Amino acid sequence: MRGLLIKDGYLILKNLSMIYLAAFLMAILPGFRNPSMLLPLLSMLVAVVLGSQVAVTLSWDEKAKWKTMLVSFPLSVFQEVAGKYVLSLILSIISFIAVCLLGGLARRANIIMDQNIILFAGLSFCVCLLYNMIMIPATYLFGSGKSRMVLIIFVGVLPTVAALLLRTLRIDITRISFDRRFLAVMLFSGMIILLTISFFISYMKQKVR
Amino acid sequence: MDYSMEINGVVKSYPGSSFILDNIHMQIPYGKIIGLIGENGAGKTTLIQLILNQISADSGNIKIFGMNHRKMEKDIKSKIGFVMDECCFHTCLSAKEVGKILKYIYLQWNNKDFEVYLSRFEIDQEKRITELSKGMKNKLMLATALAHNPDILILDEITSGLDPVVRDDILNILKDFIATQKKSVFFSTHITSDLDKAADIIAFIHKGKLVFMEEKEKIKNTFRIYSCSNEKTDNIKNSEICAKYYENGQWHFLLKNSKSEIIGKEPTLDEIMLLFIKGGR
Repeated sequence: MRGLLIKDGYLILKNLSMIYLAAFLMAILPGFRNPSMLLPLLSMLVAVVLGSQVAVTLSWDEKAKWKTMLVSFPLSVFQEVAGKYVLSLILSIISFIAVCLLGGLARRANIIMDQNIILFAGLSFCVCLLYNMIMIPATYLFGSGKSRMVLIIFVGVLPTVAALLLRTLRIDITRISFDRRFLAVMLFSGMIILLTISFFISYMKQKVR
Repeated sequence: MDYSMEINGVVKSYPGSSFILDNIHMQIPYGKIIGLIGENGAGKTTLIQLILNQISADSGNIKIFGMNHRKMEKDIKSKIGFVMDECCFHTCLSAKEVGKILKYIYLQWNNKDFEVYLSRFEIDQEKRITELSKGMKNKLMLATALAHNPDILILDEITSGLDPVVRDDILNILKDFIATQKKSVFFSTHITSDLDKAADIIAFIHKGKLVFMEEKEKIKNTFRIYSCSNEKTDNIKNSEICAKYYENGQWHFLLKNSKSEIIGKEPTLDEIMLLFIKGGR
């Protein structure tokens, strides 16, 4: 699996371009005008930029017909699939660290007064991981082109449907008070369950010959 | 154990397709280059995919190094070097980076050997794969297959589309590979002249069936090719005819173990293939 991670590492590094940096800066600029939005914007951007790298490696694998090579290696399907999830976890950890560092710098420079840097870093970690929990099985199932449609459904359609449902049922989510610890446990459990389902779908798809 | 690979009664069919790889029996001895020939769609690549466990057989079994190829897949694959017609490494990588990746995939990977092969093949280690020619890419694939010291090399059409010099280089590498140690090469190709140069045993697959698998020299002694007009066909015994076809006012026969008094000529592998394919229509 280490070899596969090194391969993905090379692919990510070789395909990182200045466009990413430019897009990142363009998106972050409004945050400087409204400092209260800087940390939420930063955490989301870091999560999406880093999270999308797994999909980039999957798309490169598809283009190179890497699968043909992969099946001749002494690697199990489990190792092959786990490689992508481990990469996703590494990128999520990097996104956590990046938000902590950038948020810390912004606070030191008195750009923000926010005390919730760790909270937003955690959010960035979860979004990065969640992104790949959708994208990895979707790419294995439908190919890298069509998998974006699945992502649109998850990111665009599902939250809209949820919002409409809450409106129809006249539930005001802002009036509901959540216990932070309860929320954290729910979030963590939900992530574990989703991760297991995502991995299972990917593994079963790759196992079929 | 005398054979590196044994294929016993393997059958593979695809739903919705009339193609069937039918009851293939093969034994691949050590120290030999086995050339697998057959027309497009004959089943050569399907057979290789079955060997590599990329697809499942409907029935039959394959033993590689005496082990079941499905149960001991990882152990077997660590001793197999596989090279195909296409370079499936990412084009943005360099040969050096490919070596660094494979070092962690194959336990027996030898980076020194890899570097030796790269310099022997005159491949620039720093150049990205996209900058390499087709011949260089194939040589890189071969270098990666050889650098983990496999016991069997499986090659799928690697010489197609290459110039004669590169093809000759590759054939020499294969000869060196089996000359020194207990190794085998299983080599599928369209270019039968390559097999004339390098192969010890020829296996011919036609329409999913294994027509023959014989020592190259024995094939030359076994088969005769004979062409004649319609009137002279009475001289030929039906039992000796393997394949025949009629073209341009002449009958062309492939005769096996012919004891007739007719003098045929020794066929090339190309002619044998042609007669079986045209004769089967």
